[in-house]
Amino acid sequence: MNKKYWFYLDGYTHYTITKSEVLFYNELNHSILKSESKNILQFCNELCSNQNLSVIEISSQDLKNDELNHFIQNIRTHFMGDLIDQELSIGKPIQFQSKVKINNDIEHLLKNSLVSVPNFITPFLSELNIYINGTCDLDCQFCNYAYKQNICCNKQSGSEISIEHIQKIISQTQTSNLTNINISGGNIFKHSQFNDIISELSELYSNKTLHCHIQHFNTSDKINNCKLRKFAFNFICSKDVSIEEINFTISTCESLGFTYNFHFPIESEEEYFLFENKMNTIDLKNYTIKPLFNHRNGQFFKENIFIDHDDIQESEPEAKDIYTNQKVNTNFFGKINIATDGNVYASFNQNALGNISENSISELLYRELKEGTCWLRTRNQISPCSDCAYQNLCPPISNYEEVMEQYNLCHVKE
Amino acid sequence: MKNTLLVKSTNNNHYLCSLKKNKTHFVHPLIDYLYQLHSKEIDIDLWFKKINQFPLSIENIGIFSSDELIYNINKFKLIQQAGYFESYNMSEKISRKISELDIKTAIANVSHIIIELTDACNLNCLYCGYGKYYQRDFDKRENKFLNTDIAKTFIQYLITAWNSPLNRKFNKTTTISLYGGEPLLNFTLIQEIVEYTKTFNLTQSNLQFSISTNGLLIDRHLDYIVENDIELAISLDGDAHANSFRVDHNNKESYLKLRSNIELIRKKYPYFYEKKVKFCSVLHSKNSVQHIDSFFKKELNKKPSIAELSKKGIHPDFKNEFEKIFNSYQNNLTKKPKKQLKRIYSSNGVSHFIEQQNDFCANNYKDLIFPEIKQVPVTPTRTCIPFAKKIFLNVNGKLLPCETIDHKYAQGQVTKDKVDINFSAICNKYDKYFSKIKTQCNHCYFSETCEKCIFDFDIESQKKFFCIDFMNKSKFESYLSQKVDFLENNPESYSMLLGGKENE
Repeated sequence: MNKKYWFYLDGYTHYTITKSEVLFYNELNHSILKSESKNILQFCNELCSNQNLSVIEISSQDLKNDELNHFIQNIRTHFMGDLIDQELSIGKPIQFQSKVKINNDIEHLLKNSLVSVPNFITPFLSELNIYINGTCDLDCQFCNYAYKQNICCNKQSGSEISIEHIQKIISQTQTSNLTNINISGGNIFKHSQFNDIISELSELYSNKTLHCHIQHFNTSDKINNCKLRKFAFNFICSKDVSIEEINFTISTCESLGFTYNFHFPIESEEEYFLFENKMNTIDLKNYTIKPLFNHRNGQFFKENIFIDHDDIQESEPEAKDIYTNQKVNTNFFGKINIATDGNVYASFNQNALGNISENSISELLYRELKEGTCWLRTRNQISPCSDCAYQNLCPPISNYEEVMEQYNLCHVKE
Repeated sequence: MKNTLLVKSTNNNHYLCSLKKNKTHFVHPLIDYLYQLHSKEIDIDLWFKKINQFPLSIENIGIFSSDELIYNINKFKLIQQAGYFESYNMSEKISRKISELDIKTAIANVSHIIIELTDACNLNCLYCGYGKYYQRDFDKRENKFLNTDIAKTFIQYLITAWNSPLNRKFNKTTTISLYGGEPLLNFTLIQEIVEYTKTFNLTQSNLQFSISTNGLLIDRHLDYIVENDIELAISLDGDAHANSFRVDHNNKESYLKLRSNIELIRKKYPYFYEKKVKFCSVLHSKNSVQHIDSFFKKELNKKPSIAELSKKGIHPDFKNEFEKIFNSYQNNLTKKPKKQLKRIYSSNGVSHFIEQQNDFCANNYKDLIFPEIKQVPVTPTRTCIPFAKKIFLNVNGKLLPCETIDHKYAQGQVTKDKVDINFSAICNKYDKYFSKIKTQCNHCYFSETCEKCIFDFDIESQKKFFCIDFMNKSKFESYLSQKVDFLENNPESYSMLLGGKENE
């Protein structure tokens, strides 16, 4: 007797189908199942089509096909789907296949003239990185490229941002959900209106962080300003930073009641161990090590930063990660950088969106959503990721990839 | 406190709807059965151990082998550990209060202003919202004309708000709809308003005027309307028969005069007709969606907006008479011509159901990235922040958040020399309104999906009132089954509603 079943994928099972492979991911137990078989790929294309929506008829005759049977058993073993005897139901069920939909996406905002675009867009702004000046008397090796990869000081420009610009930024972000404000320079303490900037920012509810080189902090005469207690400090340390310097900074911060973190940019394994030894010596807990690409250390990145299958699985992506990875780039979304000349960037690796003296913040956010290359830049838009079935499980494109001009910082295809 | 639901479709398929996880899944019938045991606090492992004969026959579900049971028990535990069966508490979710800043920001960014130039009308349409069928708390219609100074004071106030730092608009059009009664009866004021706005340098907003009209006086003022690029929204229900509820005070039909005016626009200003003339049709017993669509396509080369008659505040003495002329949009769409599929699916609430009961649908980018935002308190019901969508100035100078709201709920008053909005009083008033409905919302399974406006209720009444759409668990289960039935019978609708093309 040729018995009939419904074969279905469970609602928490996510799939990605490319030209040559199919991948299933169970968001509850984080298991991954992948196939490159042409027959299975064809079957999955049919199963996941708009007509079938993850439910398809299978007969006991079909199950005599070893490859298909093995695939279905694999799906069952991973709790990704099951077979149901058609005698238990009198019509085909429908699975609520996860098709990500954003009601007020940029296409909708552009079409619908009655929607107030700024009301929708300004609340997206969550992080503001302001470079207030470029003055600096240090000569760090990473100065020219570190700020394009992570928030870090930079002395490229000699100008300073005006207090009027700071006031304008504050007033225009009043209805945003600004969570983080990062201030960096140059030597930020050398800004001619440093105390005024601190006063303007100190009453804002957002988390406020001052990013400065450790030497600038240790030599500044402006750190006795009590309003600085409302800020956190992120101290950038060159590889030659001494344990004495770190200890001196810690004792100053603790005596003045400052919150702090140490930021160590590393370009090689040697630098990593150098910093790690220093940290162990003084038992420092609040520090961050950030790898830096310098165009000569590709091998260091390949060996230590690139991810593989296990890294992806161990990161246990949640449903929301899979949905967002299809539509937005969470590394960039909601963040803008303002340079000393007032130019505004979604990333320093892209062209400026405009200038704060000529454009309102909401106009620039709108421009980034409409024409930009960061906030909505997803892996399905770029090669080779668009052909990879892991594209929705991988972390979003970052500044590292932009600087390295390579988008697959992984060993997945090796 | 609300719980997870498991419902069955007419096809005997089982679906799990977790309010806590905001997910709806088709599941194996055994998952449904195990959930029933779990709800009765039966230990599933012990229950399984006590089974002494396989295959096991479960009444109304089926016959299952030991392997099938073990497999589904393990799957059930996986789903349970993921939090699918946790109950859900709404009280914190609906605790948001409206602030003064919310209202001020709304005014500074509002994109639709409606000004009632007169309450007089040269027509006496049978189904008029101010006519005999309705018993609403609207101001009495007294053939008044809006005072010019009141209109100017209001516009001056708006422009000040738009020029404030709270304004986030840029290159964005604000529509000023000139409304009535029949606004063309007060054409002098239309001219005064249009000319007055020209004296301002509006850097942050583009103005677009629009006149909602019955079209009978257009021939007298057409040149000015075209010169000033004013949009026309003309009411027309179809051909002469379909339009025969639209009569003047002597019961004379308006169709022929209106058609002649429409032809005048087409002939004299064809480009303006194409770009700036819109039509609005009311659905009733003398027309149908199909008739309206084909009439407009064939006769006028347009696609009108179609609206049902409002069922809000029907006068009890005319209820039966009203029912005779009422024609439901949904009933009109049962024949499913291919091109109308998306309209059908959107109008029957299935789209809303899919979006609200699944976590892969978000209102905007931020909700997608931070689904926990959905846990951020909101106001009970889906009442808008006052003035966020519209500001309506009526002929008596009252300010309302919408033209459909009873005039007794005015939230401000415009006089010749000032606009009086007491922001803190509005906040307190809304607070009071919401507190009246909150308990019902907290127990209503539909509250997450609710689209009601607080002004749909007699909110200032001292008596207790009940939301007619309140859904207890069993009512919500029926609602879910109904939607799932629809999707099982129309599977193509699912992809279409989630962004696919109509003829996919």
